Amino acid sequence: MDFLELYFIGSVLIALLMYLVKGRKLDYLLFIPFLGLQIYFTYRSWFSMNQVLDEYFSVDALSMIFLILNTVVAVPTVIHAFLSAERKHDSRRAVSIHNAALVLFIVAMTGVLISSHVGLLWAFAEATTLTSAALIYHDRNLVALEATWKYVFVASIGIAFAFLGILFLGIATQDAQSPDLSLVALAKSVNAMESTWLKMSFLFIVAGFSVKIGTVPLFTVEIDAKDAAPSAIGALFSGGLLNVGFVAIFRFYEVFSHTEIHAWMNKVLMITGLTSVFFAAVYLLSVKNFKRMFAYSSLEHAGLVLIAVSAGGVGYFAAIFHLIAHSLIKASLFFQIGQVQQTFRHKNVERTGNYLRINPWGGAALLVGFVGILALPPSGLFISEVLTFKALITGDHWLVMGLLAFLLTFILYGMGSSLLQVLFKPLPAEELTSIERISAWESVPEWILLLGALTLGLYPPPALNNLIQTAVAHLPNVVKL
Amino acid sequence: MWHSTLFWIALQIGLQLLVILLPTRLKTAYVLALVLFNTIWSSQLAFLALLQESIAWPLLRVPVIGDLTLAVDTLSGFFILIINFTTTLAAVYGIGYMADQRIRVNMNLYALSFQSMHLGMLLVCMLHHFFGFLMAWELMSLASFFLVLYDYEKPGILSIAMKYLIQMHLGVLAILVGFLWLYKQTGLFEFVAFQTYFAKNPNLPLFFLFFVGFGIKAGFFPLHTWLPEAHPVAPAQVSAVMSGVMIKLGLYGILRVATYLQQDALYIGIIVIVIGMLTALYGILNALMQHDLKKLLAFSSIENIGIVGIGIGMGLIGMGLKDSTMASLGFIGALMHILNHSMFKPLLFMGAGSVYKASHTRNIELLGGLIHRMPISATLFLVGSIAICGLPPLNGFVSEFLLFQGIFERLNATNVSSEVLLLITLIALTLVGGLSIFTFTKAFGLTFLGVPRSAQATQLTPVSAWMLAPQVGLVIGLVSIILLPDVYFTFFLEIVGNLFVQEGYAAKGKVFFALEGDTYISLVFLCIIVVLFALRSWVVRRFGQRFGSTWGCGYVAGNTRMQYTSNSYAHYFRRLGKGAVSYRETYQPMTSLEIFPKERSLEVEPTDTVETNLIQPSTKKLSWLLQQFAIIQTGRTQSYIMYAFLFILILFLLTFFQFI
Amino acid sequence: MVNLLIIAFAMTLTYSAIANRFSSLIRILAIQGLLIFGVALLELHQINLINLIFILLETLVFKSILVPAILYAVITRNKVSRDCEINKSFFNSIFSVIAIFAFSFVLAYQLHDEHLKIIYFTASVSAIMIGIFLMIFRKTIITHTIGYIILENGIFLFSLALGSDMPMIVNMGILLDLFSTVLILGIFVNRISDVFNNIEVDVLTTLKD
Repeated sequence: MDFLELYFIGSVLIALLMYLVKGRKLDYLLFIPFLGLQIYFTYRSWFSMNQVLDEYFSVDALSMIFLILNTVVAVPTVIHAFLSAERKHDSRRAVSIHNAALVLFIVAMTGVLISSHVGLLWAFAEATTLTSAALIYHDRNLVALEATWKYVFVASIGIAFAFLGILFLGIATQDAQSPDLSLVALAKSVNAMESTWLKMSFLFIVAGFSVKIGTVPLFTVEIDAKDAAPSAIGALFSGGLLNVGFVAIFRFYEVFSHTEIHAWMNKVLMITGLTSVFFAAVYLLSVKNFKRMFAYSSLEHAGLVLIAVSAGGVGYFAAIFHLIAHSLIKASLFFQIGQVQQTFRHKNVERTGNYLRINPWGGAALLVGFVGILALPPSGLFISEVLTFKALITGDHWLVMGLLAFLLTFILYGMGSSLLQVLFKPLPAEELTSIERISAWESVPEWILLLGALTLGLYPPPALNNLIQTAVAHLPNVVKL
Repeated sequence: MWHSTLFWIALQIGLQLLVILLPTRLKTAYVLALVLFNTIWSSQLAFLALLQESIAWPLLRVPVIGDLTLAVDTLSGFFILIINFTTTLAAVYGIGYMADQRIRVNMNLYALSFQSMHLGMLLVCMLHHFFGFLMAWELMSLASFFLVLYDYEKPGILSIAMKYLIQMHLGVLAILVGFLWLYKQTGLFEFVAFQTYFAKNPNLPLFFLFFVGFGIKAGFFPLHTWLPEAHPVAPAQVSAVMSGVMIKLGLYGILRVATYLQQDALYIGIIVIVIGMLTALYGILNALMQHDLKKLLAFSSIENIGIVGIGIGMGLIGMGLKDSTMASLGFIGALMHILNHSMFKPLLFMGAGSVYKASHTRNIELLGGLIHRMPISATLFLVGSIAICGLPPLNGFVSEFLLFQGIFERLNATNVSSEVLLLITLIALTLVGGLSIFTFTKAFGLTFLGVPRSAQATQLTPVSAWMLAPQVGLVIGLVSIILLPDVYFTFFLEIVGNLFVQEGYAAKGKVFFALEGDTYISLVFLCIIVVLFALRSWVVRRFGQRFGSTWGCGYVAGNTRMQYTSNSYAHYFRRLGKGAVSYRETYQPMTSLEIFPKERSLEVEPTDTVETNLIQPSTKKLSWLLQQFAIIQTGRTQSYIMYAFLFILILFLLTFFQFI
Repeated sequence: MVNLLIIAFAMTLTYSAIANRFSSLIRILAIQGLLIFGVALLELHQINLINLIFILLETLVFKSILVPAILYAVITRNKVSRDCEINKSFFNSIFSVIAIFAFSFVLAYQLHDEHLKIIYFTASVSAIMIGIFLMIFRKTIITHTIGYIILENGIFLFSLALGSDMPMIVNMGILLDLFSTVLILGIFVNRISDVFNNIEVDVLTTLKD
């Protein structure tokens, strides 16, 4: 399809231009054509849903949901990146690399979403690692260097594992006499494949892509990355890359779910999800750096999503709904916490306070985000968590549900106390007057995202629900809402 | 457009948010206006349900969530009316109490939270769909959470608020699990699911689960620990609403579940009555020991919840034994006590708030002699104290009388010795009644009588009329119950008859007679008081008055510290309440080597036994246990790679040995 | 013949477990590259010529020449020649290697599949695991990188087993090589060795909780 090639080639050209151009404001101006291209691509994809675009690309309901979400989160990312670059007076070279990498990163994420061939999906996932490395290193200090090195190294190992998983899948396809790794062909021939290879393949896929979705076992470097990267990029990681990692794992899950390993896959995902939530709870009780706190919160939500998928039934719907609401809320939290960091000039919760007085609109956004991320109504996450519990109870997973309830209470306590400190703890008066005030207008993107999340929590739009139902329709035991 | 639900919802949301645009000084007035608006339409619905027939109007089909219906029956109607009455008066009080608050963002938080709390409480009574019910419940809890942390500049409030939020969250979890279990068994997601479920399954376990969930909100022992911490720190009108009506919504939940009970009512009733007794005793013993005026009132709320629990338990036992007299009297007593408590407790809290506003302290040990400087507040507080002790001629007596009547009727009807539990209940009720008199003589006496114990009690800022008027309104409400007990009794009879006991009307005759007698006696009592007062005024005018200082006779070199302190007043009961009340004594003991001892001070702080001995140690241990696992993020790449390797290896082995 | 090459590959793995000096490890990498080149030459006879030449070139140039050269340059620039930490005992290392080989053999036999030759599977899985072990139990960045490259070699070898039917997979494997070489070696080892004077990994442990 023409618009597909236009999108890829156009984006690469814009990235190149961004790298070469040496004016800071001009560089950011180049984002306008890119965002236009991205929106155009999303628009055209909507109308090409379920048609095959190319031999290797196709857009289905699942891709569409997250494509729209990526576009929605990308816009405030660019705005906030621009604002923070202006405020910190970043060097022109840093800005040009950052912008080029950001463009390519968004394109790579799109690539993963629309790939219909497993190998191409993997290649685009590799590309996200490459481009995000440049983004994490943006601040160019020791912390950033360390985070980037670790991320690159461990993510490469993750990618290598994922490749190994695909290799095992390849062996399995040879059994079935159909050496074709496109998703369509796999779906047809999967029943003829031997389950041992499928299990090993899935195991390595989950372990490998865990660095993208940010769950056990490779979540540790994701946390470091979100800490060291600028907040706007952290928002895109939590709100975009996490979903892309989920889609990568989900594609395999969907194909394999029609075989006998479905129950085994559910157990693996449940173990992964539960351990992720466990470690999130452990660290959220003690972490003092608020960017890491939100990173651990993403760990928790990624774990919850995997548990929802493994529970089945209405859990499939709940998982995707959860991801959508989570992206909106977490992105707005990251944006806002970037402003908090710039207000206080450090990342330690214990030395901040009184943010509601200092920045009323921003503080209120943080407050609403606080209510949202802790899954209290009217947050969209409340609905998805109730549905997840529903799925768990229907499936008689009482132990999992009990543990989950226990861990979620501790998470509520840990994160709630820290956020309350940031918002309300009184500061000495001299500190209060010497703090730089950030304009309330900078919080507008956060409010827009939060309004979206609140609408999801009060009146989920039927169009979205239908889209999600379509996305999960091919799974066994789906419950219609 | 007027019929569209979405329009009304949008209107409500718009009106709620409008307060942000107003200037700070007008916000509290707007809160009153919006509360009045919501009061009017909800009270109309309530009266419709109480006088004519229950309402069930389909509201809105919300995607994913379900079909929301507006369902108001007699029980909901009753609760809606008490919510509206108390909250409106509290909003009036708020205008006076918050008049000096200038920080815009804080007032926005207060206004939005107060309005939404009211709306949340109303919706809890009006929604029967589980999802909608939960969302309204959480709206109410969240709003009250923000109100509790209004004074966030003061130390310690953030952790109290967080504790409150966690406990509310645990309650919601219990209720949610209950709802989901019902859904799994019956496929229904509304309250009627109870009917289907209770018909075929044992009732006790599920009822108990909901009792725990709603009991956390109501404040039953041992789920009460949030109450004595959260209620004192909130602004007075918020404490009034929380103690007066919000904890009653926990009771609403329990009653709602109880309306569907079909089996096991006897055993459930026994458990509830025992918990009620424990709660009441625990509450009043702790209240006795407090020196923080609002904390005393909070524990007294716990005591009254216990009394209501006794009533509900009696009603359930009556249901189980098919004794309609006992059942009706139990439930009616419970409902009437809910009504009474929602009148006098806000009155007392508002009085305490006036004291705090005037003297800037809640500590009884720094107060005293306030009756001379705040006579109106003192009188109103006195009326509230008499009412809460259950003394005639005020309304507290009526509800406790009904409970006693229920016990006596049952004891009369059967063999006395076989009803040991009821005898114990009788003793407990009596004990609680006596202790509450003691507590409130302490509260009133130490605060208002005597001489001021500190400078704070002498330099008082005047209390505005906005704060006094609602208290008068509550007194009028109290008195109406004395003067027209039949009206209220008929209402309650109808509620109970519809929902709990079909043949409740049997008790009508006896009780009516007794209640009329009570009114008659109360009126005689009041007349005597009035006559005596008139006599005194005439004597004073005729012979003049001589003024002297308090306790001026006898010892002439007294200082203000020669009065009762909070601990000394209640000293005798320290031994009695040994198990229930703990103390934190801060004192540096003298060593034997100190020849010339330095100045020492002793500070005795009563603490909640359950909180200090049960909850704090266990949560600390659990947190510590969890934090032991925080060694994963070592900072070393080698560890991270090892985790990946271990993950694959472990899952591989689990698969190989067929554990998964 | 192919089997011989693979066995030689496995032998280099054994040596890498006990090698202490960087130069020996780099030499091993070069040899592994050559061996894989040989396997590719002999095994991939069913794919088209251009693709084949590309693969052969990549293994020869990248694995045998380019990567070792870059690593060697880094070493000489930083004037390090030896792994600083004590290799606790040769016995432990050799024992682990043998255990890994045994495990791979057993695994290969359990998963018997007519499309997969046991020798390929054993050698690949051993290479993967030994690569992981090198990364876990060694302390310098250079060794970590070398461990990663050994891991990759193992995966590449594995892909060659399928390569005749699915050339796409082998291409993907090459992509992995390129990507990791460019990223890890080209940019970061240089950058890190510039910033830190010694290249002990323990220096990079500030990011933790």
